[in-house]
Parts: sequence; C-alpha cells; structure tokens
Amino acid sequence: MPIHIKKTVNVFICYFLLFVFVYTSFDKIRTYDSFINDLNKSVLIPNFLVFPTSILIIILELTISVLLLFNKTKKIGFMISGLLFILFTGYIFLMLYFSPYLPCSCGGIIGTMTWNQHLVFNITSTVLSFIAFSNEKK
Amino acid sequence: MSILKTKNFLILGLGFVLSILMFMVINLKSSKKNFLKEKGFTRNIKDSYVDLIKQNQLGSDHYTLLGIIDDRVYLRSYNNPSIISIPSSNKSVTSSEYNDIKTYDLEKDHQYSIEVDEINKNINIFNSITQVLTIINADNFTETHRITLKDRFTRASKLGSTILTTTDSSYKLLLKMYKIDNNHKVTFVKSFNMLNGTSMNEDGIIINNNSNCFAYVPFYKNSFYIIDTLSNIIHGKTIDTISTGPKTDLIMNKTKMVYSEPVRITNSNFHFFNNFLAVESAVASDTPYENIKHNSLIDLYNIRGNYKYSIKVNAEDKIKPNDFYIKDSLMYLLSNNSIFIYKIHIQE
Repeated sequence: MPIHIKKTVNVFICYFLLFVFVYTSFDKIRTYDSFINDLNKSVLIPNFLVFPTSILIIILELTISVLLLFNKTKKIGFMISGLLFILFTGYIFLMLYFSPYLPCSCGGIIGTMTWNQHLVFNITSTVLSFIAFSNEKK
Repeated sequence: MSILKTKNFLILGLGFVLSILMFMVINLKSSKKNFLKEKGFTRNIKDSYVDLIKQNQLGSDHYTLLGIIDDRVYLRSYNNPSIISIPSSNKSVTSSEYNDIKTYDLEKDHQYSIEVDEINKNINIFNSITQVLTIINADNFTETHRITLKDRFTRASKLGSTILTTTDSSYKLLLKMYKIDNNHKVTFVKSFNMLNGTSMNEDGIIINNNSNCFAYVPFYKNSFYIIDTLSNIIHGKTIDTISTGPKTDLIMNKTKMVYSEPVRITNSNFHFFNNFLAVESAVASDTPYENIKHNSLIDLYNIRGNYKYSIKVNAEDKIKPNDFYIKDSLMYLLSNNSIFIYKIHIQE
C-alpha cells in the first residue's frame, strides 16, 4: 500500500480511537458509581479487584489517548489500544456466551449498543488498532 | 533493536492479556456457581409473608391488571380487546352466575395506553392511532371527556392536569409533557430526548398509578426514569443489570395470544406502591432461563432512583405472575388465568 494512503488511514484510525477512548473514559468518570456498580455484578471480576480494575481501565484509556496525540508515541498507543480491545472482546465473548446474566458497564452512546453489536464494535476496533500499528513507521 | 523491542513488548502484552482472560474464565466458574446458589445479587430482603385471601378464576385470555377502585378489579383483555371490571369477591369471570361484570370494548388493531385513575375514579384511554384521550367513568363506563392531542404519540399517561407521552423520533424515544387547562385545552410544556447522555431507544411504559410522579420504565434496559409534574427528571437503575434480550411480539396461535419466542426482558412487571417504584426482578424471580427457584422477588426503589429493599413473595407453588398490583396492604397477582389476592405483611 502506498505510504500516503497508509498515513491517511492511520490519521482516521487515530481520530476514531481518540474519540472512543476520551469519550468512554470521561463518561466512566462522570458516572463512576454506576460503572463500579456494574463491574461489581460481573461474574468475571472478583469483588476485591473491582476497584483497582475500574481505576486501571480509566487510566489505561486516558494513557492511550495521550499516547495517540504524539507522533513518537503513536505506535505504542495503537499497540496498547489493540491489546486492550482484545481484552474487552474476550470479556464480552465470555459474558455473552457463559455468564448467567449480562450487566452493562459501558458509557454514553456505546452503552446503548446490544452485547452482540458491542462484540462486533470491539473486534473492528481491535483490527483497526493493529492495522494502524503495522502501518506506523518503524 | 527497536523492532525487536516492540515485538517483545507486543508478545509480553498478548501474554498478559491472555493471562487476564484465563483468570476471568477461572473466576467465572466459581462466580456462576455462587450466583446460582445465592439466587441472584445481594439484596436487602425484608422479612415478609403473604396470606392468600382470594383466588378469582379468569377466562383463557391474555390479561393485564389496570388497577383497583373500591372492591373492583380492572383488567385489560387482549384477545377480545376490552376493559373488564369485576368485583374482587367474584369467583369466576366466565361463570354465568355472576352478572356484575362490566366490559368496555376497544377497537381492534388500535394501540392503547390505559390507566385507572383511582383518585377521580376514571379510566384514561389513550388511543395512539386516533391520538385521542378518552376519559370514562370507572363505575358505569360512560364517556366523560374526549381530548385530542395534536402530536403523535406511542404511549401516554395522565397525572392530574399533566400528560406525559412517548414518541419515536428517528429511532430515539422522545418524552413530551403537556398540561391540560380547565377548558381541556392541551398545551405543550417540555420534551426530554437525551437523558443522562444516553438516548432512550428502548421501548417501555409510562406509569403513574396515582402516585405524585410518573415513571418511564424500559422493558429491555436496567433503567427507569422518575419524572415529576414540574418536569424534573431522575435516572435510576434497576438492581438487576440485565442487558437486552430478544424482543418478542404477541402473535395469535389458534385462539390464544402467545409470544413469538420466549420472553426475556429486564423489567416486565412494575407499579408504583406507596411512592416506591416496585419492579419484579427478572433475575431473582423464577424464570425458565435462570434455574432460580424463587417465586417472585419485587425490588422497591424510591423516587430519587435509589434501591431500598426487596419483598420476596413466596406465593402458591409454581405461581409465576404475569402482572402484579399492590394497593394498601393487598397484592393482586395475575397468573395462569387467575387473580390471586394476598395480604402482605412486611416487617418494618
């Protein structure tokens, strides 16, 4: 693929991921009680790990947003974003097919998606993150 | 060197992510077992017990409970679209020996929102096809007022001089508030389309059950909204954070209205009760999906949107309510074509 197309693709993916992470992290902060409440009810996370998990997710999302802002750190940002989306995809897959019930802990517009739509959204975001990661110059 | 570093970091990261997922799988097994053992989430269950007072047999139809005025129970029949009023002392709605059954016929294929106004002893019938609110006297079923709403609506409710409606707008749900003056002129007051940053794209019902506010409860989402007549709105979450289930339709099967597929909805039965919003739990109650053997568990939320406590209704064996209604200390459960009337004793 020509370099200029790769660059354009990466710019779009970067803006998309920036929007997703900034939006969802701030929404999680804004509705933190509800976010904690929903994580508490997840069968995949033990209760003692709910608080550290909630903080870690928000910090990771904000860190990725910052990493995506600078050219020097974009590549690492795309990689962590891809890894985080693999984790989110795995979480949703396990919840969707193995959990006896489905809590929803997502913020804003994303919270209105069904679990299946969410799974597709996360798989797409994972693929986009790794496309941008491989397109980014070494 | 840099490539090697990035590759190593990626492999390390993947290993880390996979270990977390493995940990989740291990935790899932024990949590799932515990969840089923504990019969749902931790609740503040008030010690309560119920006494069966009466059991009224109904005909084979699909009914919902509309309300209670004095000693009469108001039901909505779906197979033969109508409003039925029966004395709660009646034994059978189909038996010919009882002639005190009143029926108000509704138009077939019309969409209605119907509520019993226990204070004014009226029934409000909102027809979303004709956009008309017909108010009938609950005692003799005669029409007292007919008010036309200018805007299209899907569901509606009237509380005093305030009307709250829902409208589909570009796949988003819009709540609209109106006031009715003494001359029955309807004036638009306010609309709510974005609540707490979340678009309300879930179908639900507006209720007021003669309390001092409205509640909008979506069927498929663990949310509810309390709206007062001064248009203040509060967003609450039901304790069971069950996400969406398959949406089902009522279809005609031979002579019976049945669901096109098994229903799995978050909030199916809900009513106001002493200024608490009472929602039957979809998880902790006995459902064919969850293999949990509670009969019925009703969670109560205050009008600030906070969970307060739950009432466990250990009703008759294998009773699964299609609908319930609580008035004073009596609980009316609609199940298996019968109305069960219980006296609830809640220990304070």
